[in-house]
Amino acid sequence: MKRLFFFLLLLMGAAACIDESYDLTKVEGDDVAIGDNSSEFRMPLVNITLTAEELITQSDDSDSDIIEIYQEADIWLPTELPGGADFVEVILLQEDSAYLQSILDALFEEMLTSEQKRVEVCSLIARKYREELISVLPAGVPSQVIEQIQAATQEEAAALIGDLFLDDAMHADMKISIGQVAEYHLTNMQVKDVIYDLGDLGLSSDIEDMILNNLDPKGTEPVVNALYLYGTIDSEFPFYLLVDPHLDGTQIDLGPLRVTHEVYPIEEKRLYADDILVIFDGTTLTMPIRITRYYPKQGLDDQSEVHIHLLLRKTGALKF
Amino acid sequence: MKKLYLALCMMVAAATLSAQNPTTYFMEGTPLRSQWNPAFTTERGYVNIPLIGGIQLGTDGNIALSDILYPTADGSLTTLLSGTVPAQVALDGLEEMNHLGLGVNMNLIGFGAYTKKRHHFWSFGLNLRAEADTGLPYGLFEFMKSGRSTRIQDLDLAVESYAELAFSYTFPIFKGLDLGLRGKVLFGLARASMHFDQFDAHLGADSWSAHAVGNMEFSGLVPSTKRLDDGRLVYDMGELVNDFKAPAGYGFGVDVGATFTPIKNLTVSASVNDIGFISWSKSANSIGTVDRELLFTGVETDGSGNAVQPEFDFEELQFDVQESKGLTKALRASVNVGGEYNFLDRRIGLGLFYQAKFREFDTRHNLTFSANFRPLKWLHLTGSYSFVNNEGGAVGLALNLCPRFISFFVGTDILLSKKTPQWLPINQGTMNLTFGLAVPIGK
Repeated sequence: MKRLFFFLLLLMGAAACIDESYDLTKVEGDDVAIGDNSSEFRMPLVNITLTAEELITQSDDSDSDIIEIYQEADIWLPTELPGGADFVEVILLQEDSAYLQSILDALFEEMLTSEQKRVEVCSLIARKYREELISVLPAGVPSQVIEQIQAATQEEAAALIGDLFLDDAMHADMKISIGQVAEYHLTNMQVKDVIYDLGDLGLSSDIEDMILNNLDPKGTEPVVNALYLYGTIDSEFPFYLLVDPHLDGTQIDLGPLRVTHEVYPIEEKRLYADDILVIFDGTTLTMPIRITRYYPKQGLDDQSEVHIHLLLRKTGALKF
Repeated sequence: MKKLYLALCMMVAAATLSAQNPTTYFMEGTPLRSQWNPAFTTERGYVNIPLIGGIQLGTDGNIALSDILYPTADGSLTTLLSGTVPAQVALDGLEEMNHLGLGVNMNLIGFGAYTKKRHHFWSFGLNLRAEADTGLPYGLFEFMKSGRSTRIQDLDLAVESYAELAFSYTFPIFKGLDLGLRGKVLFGLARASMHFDQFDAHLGADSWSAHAVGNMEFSGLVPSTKRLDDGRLVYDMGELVNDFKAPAGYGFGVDVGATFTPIKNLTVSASVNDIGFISWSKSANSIGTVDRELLFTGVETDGSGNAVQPEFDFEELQFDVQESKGLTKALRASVNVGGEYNFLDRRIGLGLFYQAKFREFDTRHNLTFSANFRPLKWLHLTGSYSFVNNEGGAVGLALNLCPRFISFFVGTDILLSKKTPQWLPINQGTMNLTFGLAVPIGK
């Protein structure tokens, strides 16, 4: 009897050690993740390298790239800018006639004193804008001279134009005529939007699921599982740029970004599931670019590039 | 990739069974006891009840269920790989190398008897054995929980099952010294092993990368294959087992043991078990290797505005199909040494038992102290405490009821420990459950 009692006691003791919270029938095995709710992951997304070839003039009658545009601008611009400035305000050239005139005045002042500058400008006109100049020559220019300019070689035409500029009687009117030709170029130095078709990112469904799964919907507080797009942009060109990238098909505007030689941060934008799906499946990155400043003395290099790095930041776990 | 992680997790979480409960080492009169040492015999001949004549199940490792599964607020259980389990909590219970051995030894048919005049004893058995071992480095879990770049080395999984046709013979050398020999013909049923020398992972702002170097071997299991876009023929990890080919190998094993009674009431015993091999045939083997690196640095645009998208697909980390070849593997031998001193006409005995088990990836050491009670000729009780590989301990209890008409024994080391409703220990990495039912024959 004692033994039976002891045996029963043992059984009860054994049964009392059962912990229902560890019932194996309730194991949820699908919830596999890398990290936990306090984790943060970063991932490179897109690396864009803009070269000079891709920065094309907005002008409809030309396909010059940014190097060609500003090599010509170097001829139209005076060597010493008004007020001793290091840079040209390119937007003001388009929008502020007084600013444009101050540049032209400085140009004409230099053309009077520097034969090299005068020859440079007149050679450009003779090579590229001969007909345009002829159409705006002052009325006092003899027709014989006009015919000579039309028929002359480039060097001869440049010399004739230079003589007209130096002629005391024609000087003032020639400034106006040359100024009109210069204005056409100096007010058309912006570039077209750059558009990249990013295509399918090439990530497997496993990786996409890891990034997409468990994202908190809009309005969830506190935010634990969220995805952000951020990055950097920098330029090797002698410009200040205003870039406004936009991923088509999403609500994401990354700009406006003021781009200089220094690395400029692209502020985080939160992505939701719809946005990132569009990016994964393939979208277009459209980048309107406005050149705000040009630094002539920094020199133009056709090897210069603009670098844009876009990355993802994921908070919370990467769930399979 | 998710399936591989789930498989790893469930292997670790499936705290099941492995052979040989040390508590039963001193359980006199049970047919199962001869599995420790072929020199151990029963009091009488026996016939095991088919399929339930002797079942030994257990785990042996340095991690427990409580290190793997965590209760949630809604009453369910989640694994340590869940994002809701904080990294600090999940990693706290893990070791530098996490081992878990699982196994089952099931007697299908068994019988034994004494020769005339009871000088010698012979027995025959047909057993089904299955063992699994894992070696999971801390780095794997650290990466899974923190996402920090890591080099994971020596990630191992191995599973093996075979049928064993055994004949044993026990005979005295001289008074007090008995020698037992068991010869076993082995029929390999299935074997699988996976080893990664290196599994690096990096998730950083500069790049995401993975580099896997490893190999896998399957015997008796026919894995599915598929051809990737680049023409490589690989094993399909999503549908790993397509068919079975058994027996896939043959082998032979020997157990040798002895018992010695140097003085009255003192018995010492020693044995070396599972000395042998299995040769897995070339036609039933599948071998795969992987040495691949994936790198994603983002979409790159070239100077012409074209975008180049690098592929980053875990599917690329599949095992390439290699030429098959025959494999010969040694059995997982063990050394068992024990001693028992009896008092009060053998009604009480104190025992000490040591085992070294040579597993696939490590060697496990077990030291057991036992107190054995035999108040009646047909009632035996054993209580034990085992030190397992210097990492923990377990209390074991065993009961043997052996009247003239039946032999029933049961033993476990989880009776008094905290356990799941399915009777698996929660805080113990080691678990044993032994059960057997036989009919005594002869005198």
